Amino acid sequence: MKNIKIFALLLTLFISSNSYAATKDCFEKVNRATFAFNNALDKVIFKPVATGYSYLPAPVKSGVNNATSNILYLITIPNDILQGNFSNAFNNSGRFLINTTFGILGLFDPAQKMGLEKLDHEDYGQTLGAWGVGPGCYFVLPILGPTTVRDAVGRIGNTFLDPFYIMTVGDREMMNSDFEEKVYYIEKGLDVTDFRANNLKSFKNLEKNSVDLYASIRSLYLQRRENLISNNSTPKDEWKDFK
Amino acid sequence: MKNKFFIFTIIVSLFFNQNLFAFEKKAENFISNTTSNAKKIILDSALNKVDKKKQLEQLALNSVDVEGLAKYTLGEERKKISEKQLKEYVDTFTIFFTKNLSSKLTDYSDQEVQVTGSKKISDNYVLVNSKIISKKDKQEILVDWRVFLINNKLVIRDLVVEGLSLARTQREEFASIVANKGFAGLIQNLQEYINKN
Repeated sequence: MKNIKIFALLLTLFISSNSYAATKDCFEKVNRATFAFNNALDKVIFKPVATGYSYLPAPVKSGVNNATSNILYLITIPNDILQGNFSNAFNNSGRFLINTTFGILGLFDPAQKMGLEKLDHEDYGQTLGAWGVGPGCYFVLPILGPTTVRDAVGRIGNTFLDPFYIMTVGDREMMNSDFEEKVYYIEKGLDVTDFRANNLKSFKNLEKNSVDLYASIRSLYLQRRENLISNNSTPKDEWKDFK
Repeated sequence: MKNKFFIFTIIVSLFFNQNLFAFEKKAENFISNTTSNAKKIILDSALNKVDKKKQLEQLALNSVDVEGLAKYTLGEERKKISEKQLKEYVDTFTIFFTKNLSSKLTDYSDQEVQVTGSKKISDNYVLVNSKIISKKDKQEILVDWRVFLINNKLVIRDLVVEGLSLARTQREEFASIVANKGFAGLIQNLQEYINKN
């Protein structure tokens, strides 16, 4: 409950900030150092694990992808509602219920066959963006990677307001839950590994062809967040006026 | 008389409709042909790696507005440099671009490009939508191509992969180098990439 109060306070503080402020890299030197640290960590831990994972049979990988994606609906659905996307909330609630039950804890995706479309996930950072909160400074977190002030605040909500977190790590008594803490961390580990494995080729290509890898990743991260917040409805197009 | 007028109206409206969408259709065909030519080069077993790279570089030079892209990626810095520096930059960027693109393309061999539609943005600009399907894992990637009609020739200016603009990424990458090392630093970084590849 205390966590919710802190989050609500932070929300109020950020709503008053400028919605369309340009994203500045306020601590670039520190960010570049953190990025180098993350990159080294990736080479030693994440990339080898993801490479090993990528050799698993396709149905196993697809099961992991489906299950981790299914758990994310617990964050997506409230954010659909907070953004006023009620049809998406309805669609995603249906997907969650069907895939958790008939899809055996989300390992399979029978909802897709029933006509419930797979949509982009939503999170508290996106909701803040949809409400008009500007991104604030860009920075890089150790291990967690690129973010902005807005998305970092959103990340707090993504953790402490996540029913899956509350059931496993948080107030298990309140939720009357038997899940152990490790279930949460295993799920997050699998999610990260699956993401990294799906992007092995793209990351390699980016590393090989970038003249400034840090700046490339920053640009791609910020573009991706812009697209997710606008739900791709108004893609930025500067070419129209280019001479 | 009424019948004849009706038929005439139909023919005229069909003619105008076709003309209305002619630019989009041409742009779609242009992307289909360009990607199919690229695939032919990549899969041509008679060509060695060096020849494949050369042919892909040539194809890129013919189908991409490299000069426009060079100017776009320079961003605000373009207004601050001299004509001579701009020429030096465009020349260096052209070599960098062709090497960069051919290096990216040679990694892809099992992908199929399907043009799915297009949208006219202005009189000389069409956004062509496509999806790239990987045969191996059946993954689909949405790719939009910004196609322009410049001097009566269709050219590509940008690729938007799953909503991420490659030109914008490049421009922000270059802006970061300019901010840290200046214009000379950017030219030096591009030269280093060219020498390495």
